[in-house]
Amino acid sequence: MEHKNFVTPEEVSAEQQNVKTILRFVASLTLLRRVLLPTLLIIVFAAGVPPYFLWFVGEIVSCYGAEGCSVHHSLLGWDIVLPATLSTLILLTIVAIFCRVSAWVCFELSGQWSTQKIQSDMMQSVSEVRTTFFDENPSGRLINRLLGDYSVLRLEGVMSVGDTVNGLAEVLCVGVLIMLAHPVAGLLILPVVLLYVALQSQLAPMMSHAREIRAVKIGEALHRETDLIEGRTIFNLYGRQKNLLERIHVAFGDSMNIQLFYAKLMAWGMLWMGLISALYATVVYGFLVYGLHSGLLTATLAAVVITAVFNLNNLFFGLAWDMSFLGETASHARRAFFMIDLPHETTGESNVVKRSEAAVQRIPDGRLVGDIVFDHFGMSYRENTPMILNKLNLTLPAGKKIGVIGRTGAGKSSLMQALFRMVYHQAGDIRIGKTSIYDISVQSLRGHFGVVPQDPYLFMGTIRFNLMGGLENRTDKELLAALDTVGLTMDLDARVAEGGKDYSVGERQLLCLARLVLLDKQYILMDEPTSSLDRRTDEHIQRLLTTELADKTVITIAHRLESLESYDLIVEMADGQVRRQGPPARMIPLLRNQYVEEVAG
Amino acid sequence: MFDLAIFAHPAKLKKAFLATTVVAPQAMGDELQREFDCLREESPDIRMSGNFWLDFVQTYRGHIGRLVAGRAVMTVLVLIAVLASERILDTSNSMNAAIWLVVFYAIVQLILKVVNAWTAQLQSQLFVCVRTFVTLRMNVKLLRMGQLSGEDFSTGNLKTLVSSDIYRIAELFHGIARNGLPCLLGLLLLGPVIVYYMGWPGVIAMLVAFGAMPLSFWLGKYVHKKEGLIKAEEDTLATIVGEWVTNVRLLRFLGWEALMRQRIAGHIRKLVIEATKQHGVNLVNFGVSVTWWLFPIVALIWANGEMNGDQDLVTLFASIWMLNHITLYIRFLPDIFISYASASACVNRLNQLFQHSDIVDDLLPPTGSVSVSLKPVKLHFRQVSFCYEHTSVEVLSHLNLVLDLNQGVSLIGRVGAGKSTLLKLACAELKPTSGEIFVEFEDGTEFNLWHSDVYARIRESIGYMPQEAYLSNTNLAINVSLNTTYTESDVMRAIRMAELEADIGHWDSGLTEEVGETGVNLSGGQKQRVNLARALYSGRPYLILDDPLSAVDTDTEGRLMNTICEGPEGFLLSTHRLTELQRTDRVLVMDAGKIIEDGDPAQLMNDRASEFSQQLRAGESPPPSKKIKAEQGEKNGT
Repeated sequence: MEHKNFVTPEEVSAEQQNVKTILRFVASLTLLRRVLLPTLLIIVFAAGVPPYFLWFVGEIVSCYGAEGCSVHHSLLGWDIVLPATLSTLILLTIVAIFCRVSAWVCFELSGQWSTQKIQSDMMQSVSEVRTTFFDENPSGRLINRLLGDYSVLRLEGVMSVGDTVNGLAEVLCVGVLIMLAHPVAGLLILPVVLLYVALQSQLAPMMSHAREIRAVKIGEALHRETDLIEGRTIFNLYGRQKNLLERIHVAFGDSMNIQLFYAKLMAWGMLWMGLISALYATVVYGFLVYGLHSGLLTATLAAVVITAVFNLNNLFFGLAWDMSFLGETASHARRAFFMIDLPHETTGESNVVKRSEAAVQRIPDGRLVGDIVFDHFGMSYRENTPMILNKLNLTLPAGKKIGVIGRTGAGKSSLMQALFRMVYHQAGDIRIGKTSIYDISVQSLRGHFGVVPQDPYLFMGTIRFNLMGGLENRTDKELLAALDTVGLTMDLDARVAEGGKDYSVGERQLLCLARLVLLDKQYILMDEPTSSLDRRTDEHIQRLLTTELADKTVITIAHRLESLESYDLIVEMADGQVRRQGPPARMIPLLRNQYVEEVAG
Repeated sequence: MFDLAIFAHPAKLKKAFLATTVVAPQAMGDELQREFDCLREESPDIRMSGNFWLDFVQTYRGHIGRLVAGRAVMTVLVLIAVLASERILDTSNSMNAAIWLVVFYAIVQLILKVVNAWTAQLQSQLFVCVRTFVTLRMNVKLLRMGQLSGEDFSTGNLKTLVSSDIYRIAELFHGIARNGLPCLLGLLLLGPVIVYYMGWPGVIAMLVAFGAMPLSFWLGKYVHKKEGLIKAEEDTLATIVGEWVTNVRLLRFLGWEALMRQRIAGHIRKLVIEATKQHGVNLVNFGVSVTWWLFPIVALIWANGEMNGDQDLVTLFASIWMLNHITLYIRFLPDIFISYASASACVNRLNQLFQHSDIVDDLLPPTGSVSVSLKPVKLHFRQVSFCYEHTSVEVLSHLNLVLDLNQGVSLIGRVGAGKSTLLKLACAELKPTSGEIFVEFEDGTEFNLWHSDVYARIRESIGYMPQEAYLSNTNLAINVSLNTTYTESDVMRAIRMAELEADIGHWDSGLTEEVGETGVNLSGGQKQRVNLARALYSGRPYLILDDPLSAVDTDTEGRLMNTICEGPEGFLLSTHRLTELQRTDRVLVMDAGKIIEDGDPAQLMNDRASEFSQQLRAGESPPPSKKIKAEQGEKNGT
C-alpha cells in the first residue's frame, strides 16, 4: 500500500484563502447583497423571539391569577408591556414562525437566485478559453466543474452561509440571555464558541478528507459491483467468479473501512464537543445557583436560562457543523472561481503579434474580402511544443475552389484552426485581403466563415435549432427551401437526440450543407469526412459548388482525390509546409501516382 | 464494542490521519464481521427469507439492540438531568445541597455525552450494515442467476440500485435511529412524567406537539416530487454542457457559443426556478416545524389555566424541558415516512431480483457419465425454437443444425435474423424455449446440453465473445485475463494475437493501462479486440464470436481472420464482413430465425443464385441502421 501524504502544501495554502473565497462568493450573490441588511435584522430578531417568549411565559405563570395582569419589564433597555393572555402567546408564536421563515426565505432564496450569475460567468469564461484547455481536461471533470460545483454552490453553498449567520445570531441571543443572569456566565459563551470552532477546525479537514477517500473507495467498490452486474455472464463463462468476488470483497472492505472510520470521527466530534457544552452548562448552573440563593435572580429567568442551556449543545454543534460546511463551500467556490478566472484565449497572442489593444476592432460580417494569405506563418497546439505549421507561405485566392490534401499530420486541419485563431501563434501572420486576422476581434473573424465539419454532429434539440443556430429572422419558408436545396424533406420541429444519433450520417451531412446554404458566408471551410461519403451527399456537394457556392471561396480539406476534379487549385501539404500546388489537371495525376507508390511500398 | 480511540487527543488523531490515505482497519461488530466475511464466498449461507425488513432486523439484532438500549439510556439520563435542574430551581434547598446537585448534574451530563457518542457511532455504522446486507445478497443472487430479462433488471437499473437506491434504505434506518427512536422513547419514558406533573394539560400539550406533522408531511411530499423535476433538468443540462465541452472546436467553427450559453442559461433559469420553489416550500416547512415547539407550551399553560391547575413555575418548566425532548424529534418524523416510501420501492425491486430464477432451476440432473476428460465434438440442434420471455415472437423457429466443434463456421444474415440468439444458445447462455440441443462426445455418446454435468463440460470448452464488448473499469491485463494474478507473457501473447500490440505500444503503462469506465479510454475497435484477446487468452478449444470484426479496418480484419482460423480447434463466428469468409470451413446464412443456406463458402460463392454470393457481390451486407439495432436491443432486454 502506498502511503502518500494526503494534504498537499497547495491544499493547505488554498484552505488559508477560505475566508477570502467565501467573501467573494457572498459578494457575487448580487440579489442577496441588495437585501442583506434587512435580512440580517430579521435573522437576529427571529433568533431572539423564542427566548423572549419563554421569559414571557415565566412571567405570566409567576403572576398567574392576579387581576388584570400584564407583564411589564424591560428587555435590553426597552420597556415592553404586553397583556398576559392566550392570544398574546399565540400571536408571539406566530411572529416567531413568521420571522424564522422569512429570515431563511430572504437569505437562501435570494442567494440561490443570485447564483445564476456565477454559472453564467463560468460559461462565459469557458467559452472564451483556449481550445487546448478542453484537450487537457477530461470532459467528465469539466461537466463536474461547470454543473456539479455549481449545483453545490447553488443550494448547499448558500445554505451553509445562511445557516452559519443564523447559528451565530442564535448563539448571540442565548449569550445575551445568559448575560442577564450573570454577565461573566454570558461572556463565557465566547471562549466556548471559540473552543468549538477550534475543535471543528480539527475535525472538519478530517471529515472532508475522509469523505474524499470514501468517495474514491466507494467508486472502486461500485466498479467491481458493476463488473458483477454487467460482466456476470462473462465471468461465469470463464469460471472467474472466485477472483471477481475476491476483488469485490477487497474493494468493498476498503470502502466500508473508511465508512467505519468516518463513523468514528463523528463519534469523536460528538464526544469532545458534547463534553465542552456539558462543562459550560455546569458552569452556568453554578452561576444560577449562586444567583438564586443570593436573591439576584428570579426563578423565571433561571428557568429560562436552564431551557436555553438544555438546547445549547445542539446549537453549538449545529453552528460548528455549518462552519465546517463553509469550508466545503469554499472549496467548491474556489473551483468555480478558477473557471471564471481562466485567461481569455487571445491572452498571449498580443505578446507575439505586439499589437496594441486599440488595434482590435470589430469588423462587421462580410467586411473582410480578398485572398487569404499565410505569410511565414508558424503555429503549435501547445505553448512550448514544436511548430506544426512551420513558416508556411500560402495564398488561397478569393472566389476560387481550393482543395488541400496531404497525409495525416501534414497540417491540413491546422490550417483551419489557424484561421480560427484556435492555436498558439508562433511566427508570421495571416491576412485576409489587407487585414491581419489578429487585428480584429475573434468573434468577428470567426463570423466570416461557414464550416462543414468532418464529423456532422447535431446538437440535442430540434431540426430548426440545428439549422438556424444563432441566426435570426429566418422564416420557415427559407429554412424549408434550404433543406430542399440539399434534397431533404424534414419536419422543422422534429426532435434531435444528443449527437443526432437518430439520423443517419448522410442525413446529418446534408443538414450541415443546408445550414451552409442558409448562412451565406463568403468563405467556406469544408472538412471532408475520412470515411467515404455516401453518393447522395457527394452529389449534393458537387452541385452546390457550382450553384449556391459558385462565387464563394471554398477551402476543402480533402481525403479523396476524386472529389477535387472540379476545383481550381489543389494544395498538397507535408510537414506543415506546402509541398506542391497547382490546377487539378496537373496535380491529380501526380498525386495519384504517389498514392499508388505508397500503397505498393 | 466501544472504540476507545474516540477519546483520542484531537490534534494527534488529525495528524495521524491526514498523513496518509490508508486508514487502519476499524473494529466492527460480530454480526457485521460475519456478514462481511460471507462476501467473499460464492454461495454463503445467509439469511434470505424473502422478507427484507425482518431479515435485516434479525441479522443485525445485536447491533440494533445496542442502539435502542443506548437511546433508552440517553432518555433516562435526560429525565435525571431534568429532575436535577428542577431541584436546583427550588430555593428552599440549602446552598450546599444545591452545589451537590450541580455536581450530580455534571456527572449525568458527562455520561450522557459518552453514551451519545457511542450511539452516534452505532447509528453511522447502520450505513455499513445496509450496504453489506444488500451487496452480499445481490452478489450471491447475481452469480446464481441466468440471463436476466425484463426492464426492471436492465444493467442501468441494477447499477442505480447499488449506487444510489440502497442509500434510501440506509437513510430510512438512520432516520429511525436518529429521530424516530428518541421520539418514541421520549413519549414512553418522559410522557408519563409529564402527565404525572401536569395531568390532562400535559396530554393535550403532547398532542399539540404533533400538530405540525400533517402540514410537514404534505409539504415534504411536494418537495420530494419537485426533486424529480430538478433531477431531470440537471440531466438535460449535463447533456447540453457535455455536448459543449466535447464539441468545443465545432461550436467555435460555427460561432454558436453564445447560443449555447443562452441555452444553458435558459435551462439554469428553469432549474433555479424549480429549485427555488422547492426550497421555498422546504423553508416554510422547516420554519414551521422548528418553531412549533412554542405551541405545546402555549397549550400547556392555557389548558392548565382552563382546568384550574395550580402548578408552580418550577413544575411547569420541568414539563417544558421534557416536552422539548419530544418535540425536538417530531419535526423529522415526516422525513421518515417519506423516505419509507422510496426505501420500500427499492426493497421491492430487490425482492423481485431475489425471487428471480437461478441457473440451477434450468438444469437437469447430472447424467453421471460425463467425465472431465471427455471431449465434446458436436452440437446437435433439434427442432430448436426460441422466443424471449416477454414477447411471443419466435426469434428462432424449429432449427435443425449440427455444429462440428472442430470446424470453423461463419454465420451471416441480416440484423434481427437471430444470429446472436443462435450463438447464445450454442454456448448455453440461453435455454431453448422448445426443442433440444444435444452434445455429442468423442466416445459417441449424446446427452442433452442442460444436464448439469454436460452443461459444466460445455461451458468449460467454449470461449464466447458477446456482440456488446464488455470492459471492466480496471487495467488492460486484468480485462484480458479476468484475473488479478496473470502471467504477463500469456497476456501479451493473447494481445499480440488480437492485434492489440501496436495499440498498447502507444500507452504509457502498457498492459497495466487503465481502460476506464466501460472502456471509455479505448476506441470501439480496441474494445472488441480486448474482448477477442480475452477469448483467446482463455485457451478454450472452441470459440463463439459475435461480430468480432465490425469495427476494425480491412488490414486488421485479414490478420485477425488468420488468428481465428489458426488458433482454436473450431469456431463459430457471426459477421457482416464477407470478404474473408472464404477461409472458413462452412458458411451458414440465416434469415428470420431459419438457416436458409449452409455449405462450403467456395461452393456458395460460385452459385450465383445463392444469397451469399449475391451479398458478396453487392459489397458488404448493409450495416445495421441504428434504429433496427435499438429495437433489437429492446427485444433482447439488454
